[in-house]
Amino acid sequence: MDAELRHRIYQALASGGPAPRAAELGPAALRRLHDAHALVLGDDGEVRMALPFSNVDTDYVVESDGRRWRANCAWDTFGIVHLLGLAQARIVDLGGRGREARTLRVEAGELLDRDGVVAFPLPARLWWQDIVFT
Amino acid sequence: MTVDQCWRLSTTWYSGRLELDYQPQTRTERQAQLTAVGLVGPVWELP
Repeated sequence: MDAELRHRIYQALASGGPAPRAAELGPAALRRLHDAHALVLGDDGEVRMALPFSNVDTDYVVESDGRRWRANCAWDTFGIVHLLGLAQARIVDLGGRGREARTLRVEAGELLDRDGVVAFPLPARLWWQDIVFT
Repeated sequence: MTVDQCWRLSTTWYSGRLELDYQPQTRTERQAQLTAVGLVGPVWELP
């Protein structure tokens, strides 16, 4: 049953929509998925992340064929492109927190702009201690 | 990591997440993906 719930959330986010609300999904089941790192709940108990998708507005957006998805970080924008098999996409980093705004292009399934670095604030062993900050 | 490493890593990191019967990858599998794109050393060691 938790697998079906997880799948339902991912299907909603993959289609470009928001995740269903916690009251509709069942807070206890959502908490189990959160504890299993299958998704991340916000302080309000609603779905905040189902990696690589974000269920809240962020600085990172993927656009393709008139559709739009919110990502948690630069890495997740790439994850969305691969997960959805997007041949063409526009990856937008709105900037902030020391980053300049930037747009990357995907054509024929390949990232055209590969210069630069993606910074991580925490070492890998600590990512899940604060996945939102990471 | 470089943007290129990140792009290559993301090709497999989230594989299968849209499937109903998705099973999370093991730590060993995850670590191997990091290593495959050149991310090695203490900073990239998963718990």
